[in-house]
Amino acid sequence: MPEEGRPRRWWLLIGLFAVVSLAVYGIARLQPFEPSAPPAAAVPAGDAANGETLFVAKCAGCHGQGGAGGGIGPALVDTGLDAPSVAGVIAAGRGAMPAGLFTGQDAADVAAYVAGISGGGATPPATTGGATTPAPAAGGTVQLTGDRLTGIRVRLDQPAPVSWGVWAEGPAGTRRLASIPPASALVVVDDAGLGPLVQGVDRFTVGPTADAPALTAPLGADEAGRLRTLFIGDPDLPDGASTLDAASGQVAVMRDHIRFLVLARQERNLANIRFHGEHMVNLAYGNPPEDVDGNGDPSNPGDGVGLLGPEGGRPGYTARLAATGPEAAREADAFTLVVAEIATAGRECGAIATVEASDACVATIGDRSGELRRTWAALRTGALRSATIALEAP
Amino acid sequence: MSAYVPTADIASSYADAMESVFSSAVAGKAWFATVAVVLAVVQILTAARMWGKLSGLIRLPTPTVQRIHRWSGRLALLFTLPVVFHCVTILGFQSGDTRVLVHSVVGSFLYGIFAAKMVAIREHNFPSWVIPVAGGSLFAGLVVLWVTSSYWYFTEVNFGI
Repeated sequence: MPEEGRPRRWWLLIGLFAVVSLAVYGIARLQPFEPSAPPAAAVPAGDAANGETLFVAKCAGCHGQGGAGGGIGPALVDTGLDAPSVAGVIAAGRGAMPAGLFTGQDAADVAAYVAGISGGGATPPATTGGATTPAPAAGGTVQLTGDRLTGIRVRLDQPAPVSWGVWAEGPAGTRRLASIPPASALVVVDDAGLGPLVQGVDRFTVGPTADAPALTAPLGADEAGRLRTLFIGDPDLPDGASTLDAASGQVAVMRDHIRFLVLARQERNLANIRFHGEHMVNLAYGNPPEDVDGNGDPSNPGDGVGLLGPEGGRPGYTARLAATGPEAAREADAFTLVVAEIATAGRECGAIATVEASDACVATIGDRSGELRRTWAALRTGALRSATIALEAP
Repeated sequence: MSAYVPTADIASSYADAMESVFSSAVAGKAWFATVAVVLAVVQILTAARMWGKLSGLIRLPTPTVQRIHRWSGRLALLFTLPVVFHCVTILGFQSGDTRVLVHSVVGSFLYGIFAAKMVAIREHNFPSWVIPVAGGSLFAGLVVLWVTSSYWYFTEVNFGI
């Protein structure tokens, strides 16, 4: 009931709600304490390869693998940042990113790597004591993108002098995919509208006209076949799935069963602990499945290929992905280590005699779940980058 | 000296203060928000008790429950302050993906709801449903903010201090 003589002050309640909400929103739009863009810093020439190693260690947690975005920090891909600007942000910090995350040569290396992935210049104009480094040789890369390789990303070592085109040549003719404006060195087309670009394409060309290209990227039959099995479909795999899709599915199954195993320990369910321990082994090594828990029924919740594959048998998913290129091969080592640790602990869990005896193996497996996800993401990124073809003078 | 330096100092000082305890400023925010949500649960339970519910579960005298409600609310507000400061003044309103957009929108309204609830409590002459609706909205908003930030951080980035 209203107090006697006092009207309900709805206007105050609603007005205060509106004013405070708008004030918070307004301040959030202004971001008064966000460090504004710091001045570009003169940086020594950076080693992008070392920069990538440092980026993975300290930056990918926020900016995502390959700078694709991670939720806390913004995506860096295709943002057009050049190395001096990146070096300025590293020195001064920005948002949640602390200042001075890297210093000296490390900062220059990370700046070179980030400039590369952001499209601000794979080899940005770097200065050492005021001297400009020489311009890079003409060339570039064609990267096929998207889950089905329907997109394309063309990066030139030097900006296009005039308006250039990008074409796909094949038995069906020559089709224009994109245009590169004058003075630009990057063009990205999410979907060229031609379906998978590894089917019916013999080479990609870049230049002022399709008849007289400045640069070409030949797509050989072997390379096209390798990319098709990796991205489109592999008749050697169950259901003809692509290697990336099938492997991704098996990692998801393993992570699910890690959760089931931890749950079984919480429920003190000995049979399920042993059952899911067996699953870890068989998901790692594939068919024929082992009867690790000795119940007479070897069980494998996966597709039988195995993340690591049976010893001496056909290759598992890791070996298939490692074969796509040096970057994937490097990441495959870390992924293999994690999966092997999970399988070893799974073998222990599969044969334990009491619930209490499973504590160590369950903890080992549970602790590896996040690492499994991270190393898989790195391996997948490495495999995705293998869809890159060098552009060279014809 | 460039204009960015003072604001960079504030952001850096904030990060330094948080990193004196936590592994990162974001980890610190995640834990502050978690404490605020736990206190908000205390708020909901004690509020229910004050409105005649849960009397079988919470066997405390009403004055004690009221005191707990008031102090848990004050503490919850205090724990949100370092989080809000960083979110609003340094990170700002963002809309990069659905999670971030939902967090930004709900975050913009949270203190407005809080202010409205304080008015409703002080004025005494609003309909009886106003305070539970305001309090419930405040709790729901806080939970949404926690799920779209701390929970996401703990499950997707790192569970630890």
